[in-house]
Amino acid sequence: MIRNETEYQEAVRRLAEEKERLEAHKERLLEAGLSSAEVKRALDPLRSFQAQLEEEIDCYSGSSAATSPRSSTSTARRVVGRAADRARHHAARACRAARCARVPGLADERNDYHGITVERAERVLAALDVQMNSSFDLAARVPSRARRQRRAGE
Amino acid sequence: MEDKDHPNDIDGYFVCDLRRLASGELERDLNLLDPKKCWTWDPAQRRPFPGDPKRQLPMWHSYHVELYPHVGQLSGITDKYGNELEFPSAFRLSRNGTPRGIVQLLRGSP
Repeated sequence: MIRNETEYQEAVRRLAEEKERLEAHKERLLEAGLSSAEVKRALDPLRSFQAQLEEEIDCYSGSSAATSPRSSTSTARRVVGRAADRARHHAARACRAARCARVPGLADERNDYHGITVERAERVLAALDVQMNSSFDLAARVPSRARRQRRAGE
Repeated sequence: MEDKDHPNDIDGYFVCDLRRLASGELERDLNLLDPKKCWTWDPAQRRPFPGDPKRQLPMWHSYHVELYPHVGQLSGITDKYGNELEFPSAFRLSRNGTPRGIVQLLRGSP
């Protein structure tokens, strides 16, 4: 998983390059006389491999390729998803701090807390005797387009 | 192989002829052997797994493995000097660029 901004930028750069290479590879296969169905099958493994990177990028950037920002449902999903990511991020930071502090009972913990599960965070934080509270505020409701147009006309 | 808290699956590659992969013969032969018929690398067959942001191929859902055919193509993964690696080299590096051990499976004599 992508764990920080540096890795994120590297992944974005890599993905762009991979897409270019995939297209070039496709051209070579077509020139070699493979049919379009054969080219597809030959490229499927690379496409699947590449899709993982794409999803890791989507996950880190907080947006999902499967959701469209146009629908209010998907917007709500993104808001909740980001809040959950933020809570996990705070839990991960607390866990890293615990490891740095060499807290007894956490000797076996390794510094890999990205995407940490709630259960594991609870175990680590319990060893620290820490209670973590996470909260987020919903921004003021965005007026509907019709209401904005009415206001503009006033 | 990596020393991880929660190893998730087995990643690997195997050497294969491009024509065998492209013709569909490879998938067909593997699925003839497999009762779950899960062998495909078609991205459209990737499915989500609860709690995981990444979709996975049917082979992962069936056996928690990701095995890729190596036909001489580049993987998209680069070494610390920026050189793009083929699967055999890419699978021998961890994400942070340190060498990673692999287990090589050899077919025994019948």
